[in-house]
Amino acid sequence: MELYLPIAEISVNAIALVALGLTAGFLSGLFGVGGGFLMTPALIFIGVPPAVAVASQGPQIIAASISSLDVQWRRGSVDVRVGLMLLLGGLIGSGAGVVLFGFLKSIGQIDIVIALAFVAILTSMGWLMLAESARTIWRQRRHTQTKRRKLHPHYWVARWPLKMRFPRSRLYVSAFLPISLGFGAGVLSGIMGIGGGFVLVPAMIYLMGMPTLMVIGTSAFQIVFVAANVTLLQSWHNHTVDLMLALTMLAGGVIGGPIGARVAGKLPSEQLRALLALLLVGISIKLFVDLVATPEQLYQLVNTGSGG
Amino acid sequence: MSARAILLGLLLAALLGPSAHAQPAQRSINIDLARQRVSISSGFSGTELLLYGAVDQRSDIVAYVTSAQPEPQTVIHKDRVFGIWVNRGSATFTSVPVLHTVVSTRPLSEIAPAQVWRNNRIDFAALDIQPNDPALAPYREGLVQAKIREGLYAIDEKGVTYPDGRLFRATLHFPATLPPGRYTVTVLQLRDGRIIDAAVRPLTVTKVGVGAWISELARNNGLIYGLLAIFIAATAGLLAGYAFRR
Repeated sequence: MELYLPIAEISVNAIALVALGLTAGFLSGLFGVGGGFLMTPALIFIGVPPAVAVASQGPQIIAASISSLDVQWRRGSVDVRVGLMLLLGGLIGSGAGVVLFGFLKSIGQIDIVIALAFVAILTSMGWLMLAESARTIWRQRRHTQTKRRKLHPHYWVARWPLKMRFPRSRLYVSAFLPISLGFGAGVLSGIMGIGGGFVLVPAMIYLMGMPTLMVIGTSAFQIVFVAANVTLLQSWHNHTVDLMLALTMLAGGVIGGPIGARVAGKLPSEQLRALLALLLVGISIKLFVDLVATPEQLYQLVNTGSGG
Repeated sequence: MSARAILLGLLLAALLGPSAHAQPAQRSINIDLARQRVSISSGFSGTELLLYGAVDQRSDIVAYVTSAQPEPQTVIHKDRVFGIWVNRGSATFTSVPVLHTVVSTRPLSEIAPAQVWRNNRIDFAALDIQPNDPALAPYREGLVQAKIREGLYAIDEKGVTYPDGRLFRATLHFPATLPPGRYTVTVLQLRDGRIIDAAVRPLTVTKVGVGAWISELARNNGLIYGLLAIFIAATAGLLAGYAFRR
């Protein structure tokens, strides 16, 4: 069953698209990440112009994050104060990301930048997470007690100015810390079409020293609004959001999400994290090979979709 | 050049409309399309269009579809930098036929000398791609090859058949990558390697239904479009959450 995507101006298999959405939704339910890191490369692989693939992730990310936010909000595990600081940075960052995206698209380098950004982010995050979870699993095997962690680690970021109190998370850190984390995640979401959860979550835990309990809900809070901002700006500034594409993926995503969440409840979290790390490493290797392998065609047409 | 002059005259006559159609008796070729419009709906995955016609005397037929409005097209050249394939160079052609598909009764080389195909811009190598700068030759060649891969430039040298006497038919193929726009279908009648008559029909390709609505809204009202996308996504996410919690 072929489905014509009006903005991408190509036909794709509708079943494959729903299946992709289902997988992304499943992953987001399972790991608490947006799934954009899988979707963007997969869409480009099936022939969607990179610009459209990135810009059309927004709705899927909004849907996944808003249902996660809804659950966390009821449990009271959203630190709105931290969330607003993240969001402040996120809105500026995603705006900058979308403008940068438009510029790169106009000079014809957007697909290379997307690919390089994915390789860099997925490789570093994937290996870091893999090492971290391998260490934890190893320790559990040997039945040694993990060292008690400090309430929050004191890195060089502790010396940043404009310190603020965040009572819910029992933190006293510079406001610039969440703002710059939000900014970074925002730029990534503008350029790569990812929510940035898998970058934001570890950063909030290790750099800010935020309690793990509060991290998921607070990052979902920032991601919902940043993804909405990206969707609005991509629609307005770049005209590259394909609603048909986004909604078809969404149909799969909203079903996959809750299924993933149920499976997640039955699996030990360390192994879950190792699994996600393996997935990230796998995708990054595939993307890297694509970058270094000799392309079949040395001359290619720039397909921008109908947005121009 | 004389063949081309005749063709231009005939094209003009065909474009003038009713007066030319009113005297079919003077023409040695008459054609029609099964449809004047190709609709790109949500299920569009390429289509076929039947072209049929009659000639006064059985002869070679060459039909081609080309875009009425050539469009700009950028071609990139990939090159290796520090082991990574990047877009090293690019060339933008200001005027490129979006589509160029040819069907004929037999191989073009058997019907007429190469010069005829060159002069009438039927040969891929003779397409009206501007600027015609020799320095851009590799990009031009790359462009044509890429169009062939996408099925937008194609040639079918057995595509025109005579099922009965002086009646001929051809199936014109359009790939899923067909962009909306205005096209022209030109049919040439040839005998002894010379064009003796020609006929032209316009063809319009439009998006219809939901797809048309989406692309219009996206282009003309990006802000509303974005808000709509956000609203649908947020609603779907919340509803799905509730549905599964029960």
